[in-house]
Amino acid sequence: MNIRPDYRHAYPVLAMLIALVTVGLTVRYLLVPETFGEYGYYRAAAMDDEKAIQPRHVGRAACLECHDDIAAIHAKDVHSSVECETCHGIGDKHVKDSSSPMSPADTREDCLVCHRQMDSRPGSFPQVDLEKHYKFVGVKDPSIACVKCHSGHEPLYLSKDLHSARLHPLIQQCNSCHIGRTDETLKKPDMHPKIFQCDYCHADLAKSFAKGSHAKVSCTACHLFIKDNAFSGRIVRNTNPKFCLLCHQKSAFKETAGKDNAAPPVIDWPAHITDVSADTPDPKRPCVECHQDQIHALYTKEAHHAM
Amino acid sequence: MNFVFPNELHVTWTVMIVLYPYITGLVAGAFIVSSLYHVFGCEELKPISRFSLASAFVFLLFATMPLLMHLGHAERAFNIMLTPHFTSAMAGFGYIYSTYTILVALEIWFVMRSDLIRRTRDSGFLPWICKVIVLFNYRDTPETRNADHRIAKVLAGVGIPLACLLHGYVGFLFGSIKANPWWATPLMFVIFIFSAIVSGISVLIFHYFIVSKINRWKVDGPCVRSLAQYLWAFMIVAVALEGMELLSIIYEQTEATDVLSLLIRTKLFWSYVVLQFFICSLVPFFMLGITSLFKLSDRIAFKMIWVSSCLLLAQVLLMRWNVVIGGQLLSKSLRGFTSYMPGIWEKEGLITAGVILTLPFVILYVFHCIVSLFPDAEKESLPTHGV
Repeated sequence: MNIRPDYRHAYPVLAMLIALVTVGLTVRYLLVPETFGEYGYYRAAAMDDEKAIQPRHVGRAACLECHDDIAAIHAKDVHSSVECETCHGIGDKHVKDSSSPMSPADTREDCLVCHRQMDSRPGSFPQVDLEKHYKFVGVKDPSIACVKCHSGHEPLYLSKDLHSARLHPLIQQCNSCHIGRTDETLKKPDMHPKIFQCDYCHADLAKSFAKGSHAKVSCTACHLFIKDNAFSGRIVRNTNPKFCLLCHQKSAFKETAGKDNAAPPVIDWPAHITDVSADTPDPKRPCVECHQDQIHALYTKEAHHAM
Repeated sequence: MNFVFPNELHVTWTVMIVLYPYITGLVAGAFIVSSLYHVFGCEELKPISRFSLASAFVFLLFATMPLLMHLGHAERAFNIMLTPHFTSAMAGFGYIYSTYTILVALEIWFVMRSDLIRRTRDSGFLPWICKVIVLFNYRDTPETRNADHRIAKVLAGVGIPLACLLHGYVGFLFGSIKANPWWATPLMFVIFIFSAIVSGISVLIFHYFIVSKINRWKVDGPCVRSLAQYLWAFMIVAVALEGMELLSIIYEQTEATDVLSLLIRTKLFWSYVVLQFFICSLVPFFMLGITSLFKLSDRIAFKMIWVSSCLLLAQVLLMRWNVVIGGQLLSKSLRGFTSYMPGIWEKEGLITAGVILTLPFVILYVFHCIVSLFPDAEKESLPTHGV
């Protein structure tokens, strides 16, 4: 039997659909901002909103007005290009009212924002694998903040101003050419360009260095090299005792060197100066004045000639 | 060799974005099964026709939930529909998804209207809900049913291309990203549609057996065997297409071939080669082939079909994982990989993923409490010989 369909009950559904579309279009009309699409596919008034926002970062110049002593230290070291507010936080309130405290970034994580070892960072940028680093310098407590040893203003305690240090032809590290991290302990192939290696010019020093107790440290750890351009950079022979103390200062969170661990030997500082010297104690006196032979021979005839 | 650009180190599209195409695929697949009965008259699929339609609707309700979970400001998601732009592929998805949701809701309304009206005669909260759903119109005559049937058939017919468009569009979202050599292939549309159908049929078989077991219903042999045959056919096409995509990559020998080869051999070796291809594709292929080609007893055949459905559900989930996560592990430098491991308790972690995957089944149960999704099975209520 042919039954005629009765669609009347579907009319309310149809009405609801029409209502839904109408509501949708009305909501769109009400919600789309008035200036949307005026210049492009965005709200034109957003530009005025952005312009009305006052900057909260005050810049280095404002900090220098009161903290020129710190700024002078900061200017010579490797963090010189880092703005004060990068670590100390936004300074607008502090500049207006000096009793308003800043919030310096002094936790381990704060430093690792820039220095955590990552595959995505350029190889020449200083990066730290904390576990390895702490093992290397003998830190027992992995929660210790970097600032316990490294000052944020002069993390490497350079003995000279980095920017006026002497020019040096290009020094390459493995990862300057090799993509990703390379194992520096691997034997280099015969065809490898030797000019990029320190021992190519400073063979005698390198030979002497390889026999010393610092052999596991790379040359550029103490002879800090900062690349200026594709062909050269500046090199700082860092003789600041504070730099040596980064590894060798006795501290509650450090291991003491022993047979079972490879931690560097540590000393009491500044008591060490009076312990070993009858001279007037001078905390700025370079460690290498006495300990040069523990690093490498200095100015051998051949080495001096090569330089 | 390992180099990644700074913005590639962190995998931004997490396991939530893996679930998005997965759940959308379940929708499209389940809807196509329901259409096989409603449009193409495959009578053997009648026992699960309502169930498949309801499943499509319920999964549809949760298809965008992973996306919203992924967003920091979920409320801003709707802006793409307020001010859509041709350069925003997601805006297009918003419209297709909304249209399709309305269409499926309407089809369910027309297919189940008579049952909803019958339910309104009871007393209690659920019957009152039914009264609201039928818009307080209780006319249920042969003429209205005829009209419902005709409208539902038209909606089901329109729904098939929309279902394909919905899931093809999800494939397009990935396939159109030309900067990513693991995604950028026109085959991605087709692969996604077929894998969607596979996952949709699989979830229906998987769930049907469990529901039958719990309720001690008799599993409908011809229905399940027919589903298994469809599943076998669609999985062959889906896996063949995935294989052909791989073949294209290998044969074309573009600048990305080496790194893609390395990606497959290292980062995706287990999830892609071992699990997706060998275990979750080949095993169901043989098992479904055996159940389709040979006359096995129901007991054995059903077990094999159920296991195959589970494996194919896993296969499609792995395929989504390998596409979404695999594509992000690869650096645009073509010289390195990053890595990704989902957290457990975090906002986009595994617990959230599990909850999102479980919720549709809970809602489906509520749905079943309102209107029976298996009216025939409930009438018979005989002991099962299923899994």
